Amino acid sequence: MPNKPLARREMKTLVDVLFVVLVISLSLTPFICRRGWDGQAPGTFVYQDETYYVKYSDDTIRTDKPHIFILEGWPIKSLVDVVELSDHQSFVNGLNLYEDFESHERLMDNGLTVFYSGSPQLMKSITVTDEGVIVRYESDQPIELRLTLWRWYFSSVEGNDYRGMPLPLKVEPKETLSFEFKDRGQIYGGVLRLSDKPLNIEVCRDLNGLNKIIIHYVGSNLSIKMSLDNASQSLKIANKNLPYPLISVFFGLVYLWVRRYAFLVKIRPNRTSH
Amino acid sequence: MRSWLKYVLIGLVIRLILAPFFMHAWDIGTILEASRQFLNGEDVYKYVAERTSMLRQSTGLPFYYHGFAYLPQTLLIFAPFYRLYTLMFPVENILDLRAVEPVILYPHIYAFLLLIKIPIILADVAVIYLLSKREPRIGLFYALNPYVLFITAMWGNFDPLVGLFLLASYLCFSERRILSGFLYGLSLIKIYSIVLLPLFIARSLSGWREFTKFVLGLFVASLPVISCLFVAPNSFLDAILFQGARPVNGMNMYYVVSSVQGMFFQTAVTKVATLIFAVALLSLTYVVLRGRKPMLNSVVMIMLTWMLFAPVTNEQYLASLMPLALLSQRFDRKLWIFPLLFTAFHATYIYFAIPIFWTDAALRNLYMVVHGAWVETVGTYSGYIRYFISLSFAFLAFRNVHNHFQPQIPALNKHFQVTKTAVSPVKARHNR
Repeated sequence: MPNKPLARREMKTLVDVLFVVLVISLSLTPFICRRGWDGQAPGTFVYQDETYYVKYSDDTIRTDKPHIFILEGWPIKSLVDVVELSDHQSFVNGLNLYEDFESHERLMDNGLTVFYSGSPQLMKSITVTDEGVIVRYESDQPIELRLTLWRWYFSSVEGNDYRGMPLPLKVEPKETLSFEFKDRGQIYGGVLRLSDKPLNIEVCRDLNGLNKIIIHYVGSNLSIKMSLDNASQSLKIANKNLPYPLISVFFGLVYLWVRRYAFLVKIRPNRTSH
Repeated sequence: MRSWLKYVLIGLVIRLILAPFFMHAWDIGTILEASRQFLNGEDVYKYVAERTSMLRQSTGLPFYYHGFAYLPQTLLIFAPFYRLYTLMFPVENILDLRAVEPVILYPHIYAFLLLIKIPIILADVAVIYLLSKREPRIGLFYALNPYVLFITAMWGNFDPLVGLFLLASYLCFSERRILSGFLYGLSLIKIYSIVLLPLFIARSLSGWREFTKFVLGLFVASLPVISCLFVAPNSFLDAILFQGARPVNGMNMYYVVSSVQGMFFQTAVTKVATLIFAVALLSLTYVVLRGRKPMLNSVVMIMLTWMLFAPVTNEQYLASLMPLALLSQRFDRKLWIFPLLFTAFHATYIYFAIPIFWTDAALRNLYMVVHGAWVETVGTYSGYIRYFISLSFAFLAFRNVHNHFQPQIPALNKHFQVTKTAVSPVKARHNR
């Protein structure tokens, strides 16, 4: 005859184990890479695939529009900061994109489109292809555009680190601009391809190195494609947030240990000295 | 003085002192906005449905507008107090608490907050009375409990009203079935207490007469809902179903998903979470009904299971369970600590003190500085801390529910099991 209390006890232990497995399984969701655009709140968008991670604003920093990262490392990938296009430091006909325009963003046509209200009418779209990240500015009339690309720090722009050179650091205006940067001991090389030749290009520096590329452009349509020479295409396992599964495993093990301890010790029968 | 009266007065005074100076701007703003629309004869639910549609169209993401998504009885409770406020300040009553920069007028805000929280405070007072009459120490515990005080007097959320209706419905269940059904119907102002419907119905099925009485009470309480279903069914259902379709969020084991993934992913996981929730809830309800567990413990355990597995578990939800849970011997009273802690890392406590900090520019600057310092210090880690708190709550609640179904006399480990052959001949004779 089956031992009913024991069977019930084993059933309850199984339920405990199932619950722990459920919690740990859910904690592994940061490891899942959903290819494409997504959003966490109005005005906050993220793109990710095996190579690129593009952030468009977030709860705390509302200026990085967009902020481009690549995913590097194996098996656990981490974010490598590449370049940030800042609305704070970008101007249209002398008006600041962050302060003087209201914007609203919408996911459409496999990309993120940003509509700036006011005059002139301006639209910015961000799309990601296998070849790179493309940021396109379109206006209903010719505009004077001043765009700033940030990074702390570029090792060189057009092969030059501009050490000891007098300010302003001018670069010959052309449609292709190369840059290099170093991250965790590795050197990365990237290229900015512009759809039109800009009016001029300037590089800025602070005490530690080159931190800004400023592009002046006059026209109604400009696209900038940013691509990296050596971005890896390997399968992405995770980019961050390892603490979540660690926390859940910790809780799961403690819970099972406490339950087992209660089972084995709390109902231990009295023992004789023999 | 009688102890119940003493505890009622203590609870009332503390709540009245705190009420005018604190608020959850968004949630109080929801009641303000809905009451205003209701008194102006506008369709509250249509507004929410339209805002949701606009939000989705403008972002391309499956967002919901977090507006008034409660049953219409809620408006019948709060709108008279809003009306009273507009009678006191007939000219300047243009509070806008849901703006990016809340528009607050002084001293209007203090009067408004006090008046709009009166139904919740009265509910709390009634709970203290009902609990004190049965067990004075529990009444005092409820009157002084920081979590309950926080939700009622500071946050201004009306989950304690649900708690009162559920407690009263349970207390009336044996003797006055119509009233019990009516009170249960009122508890549905926040739709989540629907999880108890199978239990109430099953327990009412002892006789057709009792069942009919309960359903009659429920029907009377639901008349405003029925009228909404006739007048504007689409917008009403859109707004109400929002509560059931919200993406995973809050203080639960799904927190990790809402913390690191976007809306599309959250929406997909919500479908899985809803399935898990349905299986857990149905299983527990079946076990409770099959084992004919006591009504009180059954209600508490089902509500706890809902909090544990539901895709959305907001910090204030436990307040709806507290009155009944405190009556139950099987509830782990430590659970209230976690939602209170979670709030610190979610909304931050300082957010609730906006009415105080908005009084002048210097205080407002101080708010910005303190808030900025908090975000800078904790911001990077707050997701992990919230997850830690969420799991602490989840595992304790799960243990609580699980222990409820433990055998009363624990079985021995297999190695210590007393088999037939091990029974002594003397005991065997005695057993015979």
